Amino acid sequence: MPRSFRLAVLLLLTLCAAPAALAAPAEAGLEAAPFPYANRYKATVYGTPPESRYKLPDEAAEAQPETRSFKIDGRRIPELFWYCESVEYSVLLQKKEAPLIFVIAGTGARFNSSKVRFLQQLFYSAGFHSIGISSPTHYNSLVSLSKHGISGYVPYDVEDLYTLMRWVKEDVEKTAKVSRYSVTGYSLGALHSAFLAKRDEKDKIFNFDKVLLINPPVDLYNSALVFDSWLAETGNTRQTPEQAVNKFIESFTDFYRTNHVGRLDSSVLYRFFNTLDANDDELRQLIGVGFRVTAASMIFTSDVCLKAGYVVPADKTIATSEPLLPYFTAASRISFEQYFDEFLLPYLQSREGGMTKEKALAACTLANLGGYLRSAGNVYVIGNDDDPILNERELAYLKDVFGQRGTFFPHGGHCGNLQYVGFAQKMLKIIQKQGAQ
Amino acid sequence: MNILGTPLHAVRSVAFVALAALLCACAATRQAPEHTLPQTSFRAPVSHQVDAEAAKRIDEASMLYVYDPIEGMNRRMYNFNAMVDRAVFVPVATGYQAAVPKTVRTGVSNVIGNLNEVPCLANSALQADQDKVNVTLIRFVTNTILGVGGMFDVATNLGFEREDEDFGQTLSVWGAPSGAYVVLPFYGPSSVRDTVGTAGDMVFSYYQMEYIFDLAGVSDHALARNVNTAVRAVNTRSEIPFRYYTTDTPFEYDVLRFAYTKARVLQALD
Repeated sequence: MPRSFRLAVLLLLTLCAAPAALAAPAEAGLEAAPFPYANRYKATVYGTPPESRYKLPDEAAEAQPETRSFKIDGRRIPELFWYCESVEYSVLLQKKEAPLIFVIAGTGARFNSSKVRFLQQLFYSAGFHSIGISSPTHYNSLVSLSKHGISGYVPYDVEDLYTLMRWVKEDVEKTAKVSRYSVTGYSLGALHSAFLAKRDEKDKIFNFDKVLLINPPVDLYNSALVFDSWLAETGNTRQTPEQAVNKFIESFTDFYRTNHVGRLDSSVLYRFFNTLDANDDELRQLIGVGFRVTAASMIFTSDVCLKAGYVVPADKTIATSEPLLPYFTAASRISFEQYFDEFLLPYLQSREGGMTKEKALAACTLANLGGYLRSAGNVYVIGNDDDPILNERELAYLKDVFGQRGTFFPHGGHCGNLQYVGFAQKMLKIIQKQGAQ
Repeated sequence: MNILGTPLHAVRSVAFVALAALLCACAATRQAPEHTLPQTSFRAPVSHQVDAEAAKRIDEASMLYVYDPIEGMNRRMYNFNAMVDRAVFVPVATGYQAAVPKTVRTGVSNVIGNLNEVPCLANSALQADQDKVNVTLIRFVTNTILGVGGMFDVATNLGFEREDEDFGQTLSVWGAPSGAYVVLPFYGPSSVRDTVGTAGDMVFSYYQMEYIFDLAGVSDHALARNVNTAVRAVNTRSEIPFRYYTTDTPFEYDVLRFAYTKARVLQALD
C-alpha cells in the first residue's frame, strides 16, 4: 500500500515536528513576511513557515548532495546494526575551484537532515563546496565511526569528527580544487565547530578561514538538563509528556478530519499549527520528548556497542528479528543527568585516570574556550535572544565573548528561524566576509 | 518498442545508470586501528534492564504500542525489504530519475494515477460516498479526454484533488477491524485487513489492465503485464522519498509501525 506508506512517512515528519523537511519555499519576487513566532517555544517547534523562508536560487534548491561513505576496516559492528557499517556524509561540489564548508548536524541529527540540507544548499549558492556531517550523537556515527562507541563527551566526539573530516578532505581533494576550509554547525554541532577550530590550532590540517556557530549551547550538560526539567512533572494539574504528545496527535487527527486534507504539504502543516491550541507547558513537553527520543536512541545504541549492561543485559546479543520496544521504553525513561552519572562518567573514569564529574563537565562547555574564542577573529556566532536552551547568564556570556562577531535576533527560539530570510542572509554575509583575520 | 512513450534507448540508459549506481554504492575502506571498537570490560554500575515479564506489561502501555503478534516474522520481512530496496529498487528508481526527463516521469505518473482512478471509483462507490464518486468520476473523464489519456492532470488544476480510496479503507468503512500488523514482502507496512484490501485492489487492477490490453489490441498479454508491473513499481518507488534505515533512530521499525497505523486511521476518517 505505497500511498499509505507515503502518508505514514509524512505523518512521521509531522510528529517529529520537522516541517522544514517538506520544504516549499516562498514564491520568487514576493517580499518575505517577518518571522511570525514571538513565542520561543512555538518558534522552536514550528520552525519557519514557507512565506518567511529564504528563497534559494533554483540551481541551489535543486542541487542534490551526493552521499558518500567510509567503512572502517575490521571494525566490530553488532549484528543488530548490519545496515550501518559505513559512516556516511553528503557532498555538494562546485565545478571549479572553490572554498569548502563543513556543516555539522545538531543533536541526534543525520548528515542529510532538513537543516543540514538547507545550510548545504545555502552555502553552495554562495559558491562553496559544502559537506554534510552527522552529529557524533547520531546512532549511525556511534556504530560506524566512534572510537569509543559512546557519545556526549565533547573531547571524544570532536576527535571523531576531526578524524572523519580529514578523511573527507583527502577524498574531496582527489577530484575537486579547494581554496580554503570553513566549518559551521547548528545547536550541538555549533559547539562542536568551536572545539574543532580549537583542535585545528594544534594539527593545522584545515586552518579554518571561517567558523560559524549557529544557535550553540554554551554548556551541553546545562542545556540537556533544561530539557530534562521540562519533562519532570510539577504538580497534579499538569499532564504527562505522553498526554501532551497524544493531545498533539489527536489535534492533528481532528484537523485532518475537519479540513479534508487531500495532500499533506508544509502549507497544510502551518495551517494546522495556527489552529493548534498549545500552551507553553505542552510545547516544552513536545521539545523535551523529542530530545528524550534522541537520547534514548543514543543510549541504546551505545549500550549495544559496548555491551555495558545498561538497558540491555551485558551477555545478550539482540537478534535482528527481536522486539526492541522494551529497550526503547527503558531507555526513554532515562534522563540525561542519569545517563551522564550512570553510564558516560563511569565509562570516562574507566578510560582516563583521575577523571571526575567536574573535569568531565568542564571539558564540555564553551566557557572552557573563553580565552580562545575572545581572541579568534575568524569565529562568529549567530543566535537568538529567546533561545530556550540558553539561560540569561549564558546568553550574556556569548555576547560578551564574541562582541562584534556575534549576531542575535530577538525571536526564533532554538534554531526555529534558521531558514528565515534575515537569518539566512546574515549567515551568508558572515561566511562571505573577506579578510576577517 | 515503446513503453508508455519511453523509447528503448531511455530504458537502456536506466539500466546502465542503475548498474552504475549499484557499483558505486560500496564505501571506501579506511584503515583506522583506533576505530575498530574492540570489546572492553566496562559495565555500567547501574542497570535499567527490564525482565521479560515487565517488558510485556510496559510495552502495552507504551505510546508506540501496536498489536503485532508475528513481530519476529515481520522484522525479518522488514530487513529483507530493506535489503531488496537498497540493492534493487532504490538504484533503479534513482537511475530512472536521472535518465528520464521530469516531464516524461510526470506523464507516466499521471497515466498510472489516472488508471488508478477506476479502482478508487469502485471503492468510493462501495463505501457509498457520493462526493468521492463524483470527484473521482469527474477527474477520470476530464483527465482521460482533456488530459490526453491521463498524461496531464488537468482535473487537479481545475480544483478537483485526487481522492485516495483503496479496498482496505472500504473494508474499514464496512466495519472490519484492522487486525494485527503485517509487513508484506516488497510492499512493507500493512495489516491483516489491509493485506486483504491490497489483494482485492490487485485483482481489480489485473482485470482492469486485461480489459485495457484487449481494447488496445495487445497480443502478448504476458509481456504487457510484466511491463505494466515494472513501470508501476519504478514509478511508485521514485515517488516515495523514504529510504530504509535513514530515520534518526534504531527503533525505526517501531516508529514506522506506529506511524503507519495512525496514518491508516487518518485515511479512514476523510
